[in-house]
Amino acid sequence: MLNLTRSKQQKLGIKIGIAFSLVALILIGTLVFTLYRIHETDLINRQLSDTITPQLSAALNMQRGLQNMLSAERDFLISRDNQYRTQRDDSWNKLITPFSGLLQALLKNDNDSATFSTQLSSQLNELENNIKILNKTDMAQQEQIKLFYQTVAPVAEQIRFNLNNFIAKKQNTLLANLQYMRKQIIYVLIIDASFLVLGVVLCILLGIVLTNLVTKPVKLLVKVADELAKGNLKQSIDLKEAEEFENLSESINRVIKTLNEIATVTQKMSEGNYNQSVTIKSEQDILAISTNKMLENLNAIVSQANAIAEGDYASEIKPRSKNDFLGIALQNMTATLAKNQAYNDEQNWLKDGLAQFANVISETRELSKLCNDVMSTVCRYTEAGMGAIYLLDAKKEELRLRGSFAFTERDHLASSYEIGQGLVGQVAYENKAIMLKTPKEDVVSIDTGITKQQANYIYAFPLVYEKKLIGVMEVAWLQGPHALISQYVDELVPILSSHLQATQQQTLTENLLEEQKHLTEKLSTQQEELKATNEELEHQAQVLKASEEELRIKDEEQRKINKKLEERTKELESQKDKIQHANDALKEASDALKEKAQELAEASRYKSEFLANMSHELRTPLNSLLILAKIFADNHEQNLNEEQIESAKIMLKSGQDLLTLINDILDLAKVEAGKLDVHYGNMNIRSMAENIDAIFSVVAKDKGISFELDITDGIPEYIVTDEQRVSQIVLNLLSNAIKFTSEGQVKLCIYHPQRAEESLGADFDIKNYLAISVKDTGIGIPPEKQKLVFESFQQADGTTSRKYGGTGLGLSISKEFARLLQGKMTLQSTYGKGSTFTLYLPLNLKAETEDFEKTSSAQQVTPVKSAAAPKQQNTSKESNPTHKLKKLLLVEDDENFASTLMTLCRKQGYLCRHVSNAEDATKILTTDSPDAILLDLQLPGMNGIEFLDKLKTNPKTAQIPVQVISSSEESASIIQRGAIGYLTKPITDTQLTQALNIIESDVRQDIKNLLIVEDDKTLAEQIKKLISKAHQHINIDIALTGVGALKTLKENSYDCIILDLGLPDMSGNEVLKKYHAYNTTEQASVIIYTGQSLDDQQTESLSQFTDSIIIKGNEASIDRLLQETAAFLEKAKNSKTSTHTTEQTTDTSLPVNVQSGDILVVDDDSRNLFAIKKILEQYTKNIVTAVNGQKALDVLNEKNNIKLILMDIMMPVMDGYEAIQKIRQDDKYENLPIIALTAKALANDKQKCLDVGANDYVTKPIDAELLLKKVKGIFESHD
Amino acid sequence: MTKSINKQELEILLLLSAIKKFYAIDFSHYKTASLKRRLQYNLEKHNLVHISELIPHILWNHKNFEDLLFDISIPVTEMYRDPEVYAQITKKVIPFLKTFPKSRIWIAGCATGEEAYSLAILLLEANYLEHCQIIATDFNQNALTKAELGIYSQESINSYALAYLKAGGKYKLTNYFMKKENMMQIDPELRTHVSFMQHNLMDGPPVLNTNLILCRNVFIYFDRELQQKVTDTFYQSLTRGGFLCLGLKESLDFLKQKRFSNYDEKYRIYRKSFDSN
Repeated sequence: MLNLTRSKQQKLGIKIGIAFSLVALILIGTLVFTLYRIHETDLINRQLSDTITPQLSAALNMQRGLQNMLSAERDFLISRDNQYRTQRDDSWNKLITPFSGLLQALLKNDNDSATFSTQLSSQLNELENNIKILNKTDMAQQEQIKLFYQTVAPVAEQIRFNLNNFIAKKQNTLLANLQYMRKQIIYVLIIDASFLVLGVVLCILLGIVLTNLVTKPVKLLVKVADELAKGNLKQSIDLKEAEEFENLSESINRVIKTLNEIATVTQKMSEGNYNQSVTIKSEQDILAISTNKMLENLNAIVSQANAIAEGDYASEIKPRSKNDFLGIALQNMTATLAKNQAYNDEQNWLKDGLAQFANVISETRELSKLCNDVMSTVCRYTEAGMGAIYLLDAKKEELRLRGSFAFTERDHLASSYEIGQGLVGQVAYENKAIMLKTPKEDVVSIDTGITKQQANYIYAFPLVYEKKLIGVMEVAWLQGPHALISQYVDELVPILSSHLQATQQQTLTENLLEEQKHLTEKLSTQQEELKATNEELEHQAQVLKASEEELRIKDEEQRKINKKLEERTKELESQKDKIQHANDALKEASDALKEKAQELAEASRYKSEFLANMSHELRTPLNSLLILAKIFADNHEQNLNEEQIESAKIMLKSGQDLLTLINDILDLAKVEAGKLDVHYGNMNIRSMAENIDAIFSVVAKDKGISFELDITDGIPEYIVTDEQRVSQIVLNLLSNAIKFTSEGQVKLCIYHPQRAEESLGADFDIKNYLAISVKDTGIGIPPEKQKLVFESFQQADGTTSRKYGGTGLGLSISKEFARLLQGKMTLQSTYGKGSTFTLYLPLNLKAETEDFEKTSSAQQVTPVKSAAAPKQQNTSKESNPTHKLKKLLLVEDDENFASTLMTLCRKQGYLCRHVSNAEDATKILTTDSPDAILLDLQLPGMNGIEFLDKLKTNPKTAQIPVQVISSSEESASIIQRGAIGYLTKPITDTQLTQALNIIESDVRQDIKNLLIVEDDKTLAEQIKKLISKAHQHINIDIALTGVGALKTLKENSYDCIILDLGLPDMSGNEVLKKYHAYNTTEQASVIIYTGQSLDDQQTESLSQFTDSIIIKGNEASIDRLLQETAAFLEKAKNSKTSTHTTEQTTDTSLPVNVQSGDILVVDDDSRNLFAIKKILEQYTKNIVTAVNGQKALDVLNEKNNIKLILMDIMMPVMDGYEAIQKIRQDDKYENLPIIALTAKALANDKQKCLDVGANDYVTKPIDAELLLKKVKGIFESHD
Repeated sequence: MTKSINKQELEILLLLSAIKKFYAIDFSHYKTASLKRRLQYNLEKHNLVHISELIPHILWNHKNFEDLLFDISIPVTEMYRDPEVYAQITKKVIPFLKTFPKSRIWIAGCATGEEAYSLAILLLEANYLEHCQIIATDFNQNALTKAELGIYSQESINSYALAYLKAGGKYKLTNYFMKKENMMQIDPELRTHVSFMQHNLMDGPPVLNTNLILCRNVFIYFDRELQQKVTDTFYQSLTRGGFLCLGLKESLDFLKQKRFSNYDEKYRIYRKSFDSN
């Protein structure tokens, strides 16, 4: 609709017309349709009423006639009553004949019923004939009736049947037509109703649209009109709904435009712009005309005001009417303004004059200048030609000329006047101003330089201050003075007078002051001088006095000191000499001694080494000798004679003796070289003694002396010591004792010593030792030889060896053994009566237990019936060779459950031990470590959780798997605390097996591989033994040579390598180099275990493989080896479980520039070198190292492919600063990136690094990511 | 009475903040009691009455500050103080050091150097000094200068003789000194093995991979917080299995984390655990 209206912009009328036509069209359509339908219905109706209805009624009548006729005929035939005959004829004539004729006539045009019609007429004829025949033939009644039924009745029946059919047919037609009509009527009703509704809806729609069409613009117009009424002229209207509205809006817009025009003009007027006019649209345009008039008026007023503003008060304004208040007001204003202006001008003149004057007098203080300036100002301002000022000299009573303007002194004019003399004097005398007009000629003439004119007006006036005359001023004009001159003078005089007075006064005061000042200065200078002199004198006096005093004291002191000093010096000198002498001597002696000691030590070491080597070398050939001698002595082949056999036996005996000797020497050498090892274990004292007893009672018997064994009660069953060594000592002592005893007895006593022997030393605590002594009644040892017997190769008497044989080494070896066993040996002997050797063994050594169950029983900790176990274990151990773990510790307070568990575990082939509380378990763990622990939580004393925590926090026990078996439910927290599993009681056999299997697999995962590379087989075995004691689940291999090591390393993977550097075939360093060369992944940690002492160069070269270097040499070395091994193994375990979490996640590549060459790392500490290399190796393999600045320079000169230097600062020989400076001095390396490595805490060193030329610095310990970042940073900035 | 104490504490606070601001040395974690004593001592030495008077005294004269620093840090030091400790070091620590091809030893708070030289002598006697690098640090430059000279009065050296023997000395202490006028100067050969450096313990470790740190009788002047901080520094500096030796009245019991094991409880020798880093 909208589009339609917009596109066509029809007139409103047309629109309304179209709308109503549309409605009318619809209504007419409806009417036509309805009429047509009605007409159609009517046609049908007519057909019904005109044809079918008469047909039907005729047929019905015929039927009725036929019926009547038949019944009448029948009745007639039966009754023969003529009444019936009439009746019959009537029926025929009145009903059948007419209606049949009617029907025939009706059916004439009906084609459908044509056959029926003809049939009916023929049948009717037949019937008529038949009836006629019947009535004609006078037959018997019976015959007639019979004939009736044979002829008439069937025909009649036939007719009736046909009629009935016809009727039925017509009735159907009728019905159908009626139904059709009804349908038609309903149809018409529906259609009509629909059209009606449509029409109504259309009417409503049209109504709405039209209303809108009309009201919207009207509303808009009303709104615009309202706004206009409110004065809002910024309106425009644009109606396009219809032409009428468009016209309307245009005229309204025109009105608005006109209004706007006037509004603009008035607005401008209100802004003061009157240069406007409004176009007059017609004569009736009063608004425009008045506006223009108003503008005119205003313009007139404006020009008037402008004139006034410019000071032109003359132009008059004419009021336009009496009501022109503005005009009148303006007129009045102009007048007032003119008056005011005049007054203001006067006042301004006065004020300006005074202001100028005030300026002048404020500027000057000097009197004559003041007078001249005042004169000049006054004259200039009043436009006077000449002026003079005379001041009263009070002393001389005369007026003196002090200042003038354009005034020339002339001979006849005095520069001073007495009072009363001349005009000036007169004025002074009268104290009144005088104005002279046209004075006498020649009195005053004003000389302009061009002309000379007489002054026509002279004004002289007195200057009075506080009624006192100060002076007179005289001014002369050519023309008349200013009208306000007297006012001017009145205003001026008081100011000038007071100022002149003040100035005069001031001048006077100043003069006086100046004089005063001068005098004061003079005085103070004199005073100051006086004071200074005084002070100086005083000071001098004091100094004099003090120095006098001082001198006196000093003199005295000096004398005393000198005396003392002299004495001291002498004393000191002699002392010094003495000490120097003594020192020198001492030093010499000490040096000599040191040298000797060193030599001796060296010699001793050489000796020991030599002996050790020699013994070894000797034994090999001796062995073969002995074997051969034995073969000879045995004489199996029976081919030797007695003598030869005897010789062979002697050879064998001597050889055996030689072997014993060599063994002794070897032992001693080993001891002295510190190479003899002690294997601690539990020694059953009684059984050891009994073994010895068994041997020696026989030997003693042979020699005819008695042998006695005495073991004191109360000694422990076991002590921890090296049984072999103890036996060796005791055997040695006993064989000595028997050797040197020819009669009497030899006694072996084992006891707790009660009394300390002197030779044991003061700090020897006897209570901690067990004593084993051998007493004999032999030859004894003289006191002077008693100390010597323990020395190597010494016997009490050099001759004894010849008498008793023997090497003399036994005792020294025994003593060394005793020392190794941390014990002592003493000797008490009386020459000729016998000797007692006592061996003291420490009681409280800690056992390094070997057998779990055995130890546990020795430890006396809650013994459990496990006596039956050992046998079972042995068998089960063999039957279960797969078990890696053997020893279980069961911590459980319920004895019954414990024994059940024990049985179960034993069945599975484990060694099992039970304790009933955590405290006992803790104790056991200090001496032994089980492979796994089964732990109950409810324990007396320390509960299971505490125990677990304790286990897990102790690094020694943390790795032991703990399976918790308890009746409480705390599984989650237990697992968090480190337990491997949690079972709730009661548990079944299978559950336990499963738990054990889990432990088993956990343990098996942990199995670590260790390789010992050591050419000394015994040492290697010893290390292996120690390490396997300290760690469970460890597999240790030994390689004796470098080649062997590399071979095993190739075949197996190891977590840790313990490497000796001095291998027979290649150096340890080479081994490592080769190992690293082929194995680049998963390298084993390396521990260097070497006897060599390494220099910097060596440690540096090792630093590329490890930072763990252990120098063999004392017990601490072994300790450290174990600690380092433990640490490495622990690390290996952790890294296995947390697979490479430390692997850096960030960008891993170095700048290409770096990768193309080598990185030089300079650090003096091999461990630092190792750490840095470890970091760098993640990025590159090309790393070279140096241990100090000098070496770094050497490397730099050798290799020309260094791309980056990491330089430590604190180094010996040449430190980092110096090194960097030296590098930078070479032009080649001017831009070589250098990163300094500094400890963060050293003051200022960072800045210093940069100052000497490092590109950057990194603080140690080095953070890999940071280092990489800095390297990149440098290369980026280089690029 | 309490008021006067508060005043004094305020004075100390002001003085310390002045030192911190101007000289960048923080004494705020030093124990107040000992600090007060040291300040009092310095005060009397300069004939001053109130601690606050020290503020201009040290701000306008660097020498005065050095002097104050010396007095604050004075820790009385002597050679082989607590000789048993040295005996233990000789017996239980030096053998361990000897298993290293080279050892680095840090004397933290070395004052006038006596301790450093004491240890150097023992190491020499153990034939290990040539493999050692001894770094002795103190924050007091005056003390370091003295230490570097290694000149001590004859009387004092004589008085150390017994302690030296108790500590396990094998010869005579005076063997290691040269007479210089009436003073004794440490043997120059020994001196070359000790490097002295200025270092404030609050600044973190000056060297890494140390095998032994001696910091004896320094902790007693520190409060808990500073002790903790310095212990961290030591931990960082020590190599795995390295030793830390404190004064007999000091301990690491306050540490929450057990990062050190008690190597010798009586003589306060601690050890950094082996499996660290």
